[in-house]
Amino acid sequence: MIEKKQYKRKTVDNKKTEKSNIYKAGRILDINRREINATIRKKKTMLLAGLLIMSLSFLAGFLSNSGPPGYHYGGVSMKDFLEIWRFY
Amino acid sequence: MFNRKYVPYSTLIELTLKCNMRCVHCGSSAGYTRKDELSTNEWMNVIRQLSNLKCKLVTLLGGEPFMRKDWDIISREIRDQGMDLTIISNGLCIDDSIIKKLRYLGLYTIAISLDGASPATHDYIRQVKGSFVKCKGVLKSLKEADIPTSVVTTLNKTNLKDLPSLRELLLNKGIAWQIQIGVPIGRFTKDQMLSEEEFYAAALFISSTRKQYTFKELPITGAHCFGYNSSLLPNIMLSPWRGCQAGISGLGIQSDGMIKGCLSLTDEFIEGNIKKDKIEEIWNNANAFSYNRKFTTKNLKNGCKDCKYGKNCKGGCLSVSTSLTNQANSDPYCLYLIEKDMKI
Repeated sequence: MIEKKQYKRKTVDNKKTEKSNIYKAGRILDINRREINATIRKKKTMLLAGLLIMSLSFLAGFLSNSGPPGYHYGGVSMKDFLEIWRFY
Repeated sequence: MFNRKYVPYSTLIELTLKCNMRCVHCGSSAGYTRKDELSTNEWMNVIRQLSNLKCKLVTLLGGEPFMRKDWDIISREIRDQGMDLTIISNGLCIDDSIIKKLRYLGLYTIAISLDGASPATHDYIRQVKGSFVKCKGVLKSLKEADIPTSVVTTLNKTNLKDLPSLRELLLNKGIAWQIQIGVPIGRFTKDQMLSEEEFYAAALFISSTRKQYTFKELPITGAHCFGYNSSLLPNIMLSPWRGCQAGISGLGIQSDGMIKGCLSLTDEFIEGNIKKDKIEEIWNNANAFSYNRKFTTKNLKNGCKDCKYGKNCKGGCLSVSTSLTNQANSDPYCLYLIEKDMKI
């Protein structure tokens, strides 16, 4: 438990150092914190946005009963696949 | 089982080493003509050989390429052979007659070196008084003539702080801007080299500029030497870095006929001379350009050793790596490495 706490604190410290080092570098060319924060990649936001887009595209595909865009089973669309399956 | 076929899609040609400037950062120590520079006929032969090798883009540079009186004949031959043409110049001797010829050549782009936002910085680096004013005038004339124009800025300790003012100067002018770092080769001294922190600041500047302005307002990019695989800064280069292309898709020809994978490399990387052999023979030699063609991750050294990006990155720019560490495949000016070690 103690080890876990120590590990957590270390991670936070590293992140702080990382940011402060970037801010320090930015000062060389008068790039302020707001500009830096707007520029640097936000990994969590990008990941969440990616997941959201994927989920929505799958949902839209299933609702339209034609499968997600460009997604096919053995060369036929999901709609045709279901038709064949029903036939048999 | 399969032998990969290499094609020199992009060829850099040092038309002459003669130059009308004596820039403090010049990697070629340009100034005087090289001994035994190629004649017009020899260059015409070279251009035809490049066309046969399926080269797509030829870049003429120097020295100062316009110092050669036959630059337009050679340029015309490049276009007639169906290849794209780029010219890199300091702009000092560009006048109306040259602009008129450039217009009819249908250039891919002309790149003018601009190293400062004021005469104090630019004229000092270029060692020619009045060159800043002349350069600004040339950029205006080229745009008026509707010629695709770019600006190349080579960074050192003297001009780093000029970047924001240079941005103001180039904004909404329809001029593309490429930023690169100077490395201690030729006349460039080590004390003028950016520190890793300054290098990171420049990368941050490029990235934040691309965030603030659209590509139409200011098409800005970092050159190949700028940062590999940053986990924090997006959009520094126009396309992802796929490792040094010297001898893979890139070729460099010196004005005396010497062939290298890239003109920024030192003489130890010379593969042959076109006065002795055909370009095709040099290019297709099984042992040529082995530093890149036979690269394996075992070649990675120093900070690049065991790097997860090493296989594709090949340890960054070969020229920067060898000039700073005396070893290939270990470029220390790497954004990923700097971020990893938090050296900034």
